[in-house]
Amino acid sequence: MASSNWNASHIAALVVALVAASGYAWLAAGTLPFTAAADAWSAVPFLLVAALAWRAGRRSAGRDAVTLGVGSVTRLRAWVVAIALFVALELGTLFAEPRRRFPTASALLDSFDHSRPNKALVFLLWLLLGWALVGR
Amino acid sequence: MTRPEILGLWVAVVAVLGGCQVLALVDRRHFAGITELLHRLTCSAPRRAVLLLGWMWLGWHLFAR
Repeated sequence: MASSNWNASHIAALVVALVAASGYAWLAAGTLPFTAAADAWSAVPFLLVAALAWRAGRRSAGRDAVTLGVGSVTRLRAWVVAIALFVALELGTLFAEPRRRFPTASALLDSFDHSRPNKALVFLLWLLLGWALVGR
Repeated sequence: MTRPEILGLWVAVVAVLGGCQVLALVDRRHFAGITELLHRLTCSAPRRAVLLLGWMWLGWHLFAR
């Protein structure tokens, strides 16, 4: 019973966090690049995630014994290839001209997030990535 | 190369990234999923710090600049 109560409160906390993050992403998506407002709305998650990372680092001090052994590298080989392809295409397009003909990943994202809902979605995904890096 | 060809390459790369996760779901014994990848990448403090700096740069690049 206690376990199901904990699960319910855990799910409720996740829903509240997701709603709050979505609201924050919507407000942040209303700013324009190269403005103080855009700097500020991006800086707040920096500070929050940095604080979470610092706390997680203190908690796990001395437990960083997981290393990339041969077995784990073998298990990750598909990701290594996929990420290498991504980086190669990004670098190839980054140093090619004109940008319209050779779009980079961020140029494609720029054309996607011209509308506020799309920009809010990208911002939310960025927040979730930050949480995935420190919140586990 | 033309723009449609470059866009096709981007679609292919995204498909390969998605395929990695599908591969992990199909054959969990031999292939790691995104969760394990993140765990492996963030399991030591220096690696986590580098990834966090990359994440911060990405946000600044996409939204502030």
